[in-house]
Amino acid sequence: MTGLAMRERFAATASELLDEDRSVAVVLADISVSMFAEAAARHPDRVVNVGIREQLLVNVGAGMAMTGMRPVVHTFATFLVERGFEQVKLGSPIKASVVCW
Amino acid sequence: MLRPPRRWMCCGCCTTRCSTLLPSGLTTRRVTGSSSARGTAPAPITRCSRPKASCRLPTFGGFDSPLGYHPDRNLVPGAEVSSGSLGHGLPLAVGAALGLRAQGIGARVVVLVGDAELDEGSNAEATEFAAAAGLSALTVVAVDNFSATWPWRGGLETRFEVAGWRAVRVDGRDHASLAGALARRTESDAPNLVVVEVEAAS
Repeated sequence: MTGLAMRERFAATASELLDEDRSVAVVLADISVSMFAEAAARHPDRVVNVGIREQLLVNVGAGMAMTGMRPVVHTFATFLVERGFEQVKLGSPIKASVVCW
Repeated sequence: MLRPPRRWMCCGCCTTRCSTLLPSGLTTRRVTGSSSARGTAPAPITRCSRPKASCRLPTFGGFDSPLGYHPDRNLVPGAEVSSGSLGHGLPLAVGAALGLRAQGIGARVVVLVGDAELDEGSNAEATEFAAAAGLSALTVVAVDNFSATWPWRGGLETRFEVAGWRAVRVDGRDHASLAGALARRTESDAPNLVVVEVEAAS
């Protein structure tokens, strides 16, 4: 588990989860997209990059979770809290994971 | 058919517009293999999604009633998202459409919004992305009662069409036109907008 920076470890682990579990999705907002390039090629419908849209980022994760998936939503902490706080607040009862730095 | 007083349809966050239909919540339920997502006021939600819950309607809006002025997902069976805050229904529906597509489920997602609710910037994020992602299974039903303080020039449909949506405007009192618009499926990747025009709030 050594040799990889924290974010690289996250990307590698999340990519493995995408391979192993068809219910897992990763939702991005232009952050860390390059780290998921290979995973996106393998799972184009389960690696979603919404662009620079943090409000949509969180709600897309919540919406996917409503259909039975287990999405992982990823961005920087400051973007998540300062641009999408209400989405986080309202979406929190819905089963989605948020990974941020 | 139950016709609640129009104040029941009012979003509590804009008390100056008590006749405004501002549904921002989103509910989903499976009906013969299709998924419909609707934002709505609690009375019709309860009526439509859980007939047995209709017996609680007389308590609507009461202090201890589970049926508040907005559906609460923790209290109202069938309400999967609490309403109240505007601008969440459409982006949630985008996520639902993505989730269904990723699972190979060819269901439609229909979300009901209001014209003033579309002022919320979160809808702009969703509108652009939905067309770019080719979410043809998504249909937005926008009730236009001309309640936006600063209406979009050219009407609601112009901004959606620019983003790549297919849009149609129908008379909200014409059920045949409504049915035709809602039944239409696009052969392209474009998501669908149905603007439902009703009389302006007075």
